[in-house]
Amino acid sequence: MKTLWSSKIVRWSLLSIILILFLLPGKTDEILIQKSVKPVYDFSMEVYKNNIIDFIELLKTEHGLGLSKYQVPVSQEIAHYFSRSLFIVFPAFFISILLGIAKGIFDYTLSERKWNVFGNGTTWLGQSLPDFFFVISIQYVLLLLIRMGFPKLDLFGYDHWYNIFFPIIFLSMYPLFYIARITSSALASEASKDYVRTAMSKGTSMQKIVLRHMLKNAMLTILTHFFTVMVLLISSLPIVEFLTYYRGAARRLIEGFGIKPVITSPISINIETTLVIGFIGIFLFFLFAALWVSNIIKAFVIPNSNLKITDVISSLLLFIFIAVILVLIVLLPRDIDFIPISMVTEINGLWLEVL
Amino acid sequence: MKKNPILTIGTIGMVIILFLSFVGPYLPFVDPDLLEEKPFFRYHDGLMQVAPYGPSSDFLLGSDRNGRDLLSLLIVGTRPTLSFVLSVCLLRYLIAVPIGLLISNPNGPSFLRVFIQTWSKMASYVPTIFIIILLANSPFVLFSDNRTIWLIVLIAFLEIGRVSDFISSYIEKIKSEDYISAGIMVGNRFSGLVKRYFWPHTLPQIVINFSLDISRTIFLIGQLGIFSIFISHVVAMAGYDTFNIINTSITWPMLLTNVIQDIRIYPWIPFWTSIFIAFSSFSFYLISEGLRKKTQNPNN
Repeated sequence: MKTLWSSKIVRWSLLSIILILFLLPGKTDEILIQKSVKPVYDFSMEVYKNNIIDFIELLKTEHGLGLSKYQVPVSQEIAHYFSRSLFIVFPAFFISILLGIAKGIFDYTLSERKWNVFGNGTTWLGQSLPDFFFVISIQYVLLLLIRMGFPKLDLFGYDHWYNIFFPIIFLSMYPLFYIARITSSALASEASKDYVRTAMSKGTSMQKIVLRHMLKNAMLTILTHFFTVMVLLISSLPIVEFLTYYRGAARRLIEGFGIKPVITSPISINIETTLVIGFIGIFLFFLFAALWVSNIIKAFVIPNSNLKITDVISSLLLFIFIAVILVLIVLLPRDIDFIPISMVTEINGLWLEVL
Repeated sequence: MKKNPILTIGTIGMVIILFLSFVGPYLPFVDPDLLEEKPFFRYHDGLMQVAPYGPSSDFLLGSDRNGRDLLSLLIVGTRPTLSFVLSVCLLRYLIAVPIGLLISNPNGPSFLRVFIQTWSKMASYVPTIFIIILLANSPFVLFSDNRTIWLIVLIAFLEIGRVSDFISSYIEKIKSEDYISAGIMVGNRFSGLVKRYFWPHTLPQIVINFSLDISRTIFLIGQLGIFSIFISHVVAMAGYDTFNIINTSITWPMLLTNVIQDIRIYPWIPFWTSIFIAFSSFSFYLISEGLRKKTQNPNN
């Protein structure tokens, strides 16, 4: 592009185009031409190769991931933020499973009655409304309450022990309704089975049938969704941590991506490479562990199921594959080059008035 | 209508959204020239106010940081938002549905089947939001002139495996039904089976999932807005060696960009924006739920 700009023909033709533009009659009264530069991505395979080699060298020599932008070892920072996130992820997991099953039973018992709106209706609301909608509206309501004279509590942040309540509640919201939905549909599919009819003919109360017999069988279906719940929790972790000012792993990771509205010199987009890679590694490891813990529980509970070592290896390979792809994206060179452009601004009447 | 209230409510919601996108910009109370620069201060009751203005009789839902009427912005933003979401879902299904039908053929390419299953598995293992943020912020996409197209392709492609896998496993499920065996018995080949038996039965499921995907994608781009991932932007020179990334779309999620500051000082901006997002997400979810109910019990 630079060589193109330096060629005489391009300059002259550009100049003549500008002249023609000036001479052209049109609606616009004046055309202002400014010289400016435009950043373009400057990809070079060599830099990319060097980035990868440097990263491998770093892994070999430092036995860690180097220092973060706060001059703290990256591994230490990751451990710090990740454990803080686990403080909200695990409680949210248990809350969403337990309350989700309870809500599912409630939905199922109401599904045949007029009050269905309060059962399935609320579950649909919880399933379709975005997580940030809950966070934003609850904060708005709290703000209005404080303005009306409600005592101000420092509910958001990470300084106090009770700051974990809000993130836990927001985090467990979506998975809770997910489990509720799974539970009520699993119960509904059990309802037409023979053992339910037998129990009913014996005069067992419906409550007992649902809780003692149907739920046990439905649990097998619910169990297979434990891993999905974990993925859902991790998915809404960035939004929840971001909006409740809880400085956990997901928030630190997003910070590490370096999304900024302003790009300044030195001319490269800052991404904290080693920190982001470290977080990708630990999140993927966590999800892999969650997958296999849930698979092992399933194998114990569900009759006639057996764990295959090949499955473990194939899923491990998949996770490693995902990790490698993500690391390769993170390591992309981030240099930009400038090309000169002429910005043509049309000014309607205004310029003439000034003159 | 009485028998399937969910579908009715969902359809009403969708009609409102369609009305807002096509008729909305011409409504009398909607500011027609939103894209023009507005003064960011005004005199009100003898006092000078700086934008954003709170909800009042002049600005029903308040204004944004540039002094533009929020209600008008949200109404005018309906069409670009929905067209982005629809392009994502259309692209995804246009590619995923043929692949899904192709791999359900037992004599079809087995390599493709394994590939799609692996893809679907991978997408279910990792939270997509992280991957989209990482990709949207990668330099290829950040400095591309066709950023919007890149983003549409990225978001669409991440879930193609899931949709194809769903279609082929649905066909696998109905293969054992009696009417399919009857179809094979009268001499249908695989293409005939697809045309006369699989397709008519799979289409309702595709429509249900398509509607659900619209709901999910609206949800997703709302999240991207919070992390300042713009759907379209320009990189403009702001001074020596300084460039600003300026948002150039008027879609809903862009009003959520400053949510962290806005929620404490100007709460009406994120609040009403998230109401619009939640409303459309909910409507499409209800349509999907209502159609599901209809297919399970055709009498409704």
